[in-house]
Amino acid sequence: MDDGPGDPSGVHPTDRLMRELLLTRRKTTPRDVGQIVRRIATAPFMGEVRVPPRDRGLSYLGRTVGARENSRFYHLAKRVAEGQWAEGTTEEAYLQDPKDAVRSSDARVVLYRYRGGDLAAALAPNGMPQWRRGNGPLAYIFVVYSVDRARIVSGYQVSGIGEVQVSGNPLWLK
Amino acid sequence: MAEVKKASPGTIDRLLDLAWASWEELPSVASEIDDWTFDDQITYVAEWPLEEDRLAVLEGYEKSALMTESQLHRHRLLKSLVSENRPILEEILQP
Repeated sequence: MDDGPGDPSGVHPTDRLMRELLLTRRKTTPRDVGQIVRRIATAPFMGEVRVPPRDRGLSYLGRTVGARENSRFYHLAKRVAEGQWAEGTTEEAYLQDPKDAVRSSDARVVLYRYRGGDLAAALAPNGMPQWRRGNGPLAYIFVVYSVDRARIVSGYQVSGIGEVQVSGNPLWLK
Repeated sequence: MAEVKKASPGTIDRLLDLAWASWEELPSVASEIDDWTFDDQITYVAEWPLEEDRLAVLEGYEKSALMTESQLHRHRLLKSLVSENRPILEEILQP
């Protein structure tokens, strides 16, 4: 379903909705949540980002992670090294797994704010095929979206709903 | 509650290594994060729910008596590091 044209300010209506919800903390409708899920599920990954020194030098699929790196590749290399995704997982598959998870009817959505940036995240059961799981898979997938950049910031696996601690005055929508 | 199951070989040591590295670097991150680009800042902070989850998983392994003596010792040191650096993290994760 199309979320409609953007407003004259250039802000996508769903990103504007997320900001409004963070501000007013009003009760949401299923339509609101569906709109947000679709927005996250269709977003591209961030571009080039800084890599912490401890992750520089990670090697994956014949490529080494540098001081600045394409975000999708960096996070994939990290997730494989952590045992979350299997060796051989492609960047495309790594992007698709969180997006598939977000679309699950069991997905929960949270809005929060860190360092002046508005973020949305979806938490959903890990339905990845066994062959794409590493040797330390976890039960849920958590995907983080930047409202300001309209990009996915990260995607990873976590053990359970009770342990997903989000500070930044979180607003859980469902 | 975290799902606690028998760890595959090396899992607990790997989790201890990853957690230690993340919590140990907090003072240096705090000293420079204001100078990073906005994208770099949110990329860094977006990983912290995973770091907190990792602590819960390790706690589950300890409570389920799945750690060796050496791992228990490392886990105690990690918990001390977490207590010491948590105020720094809270400052970094400010809204």
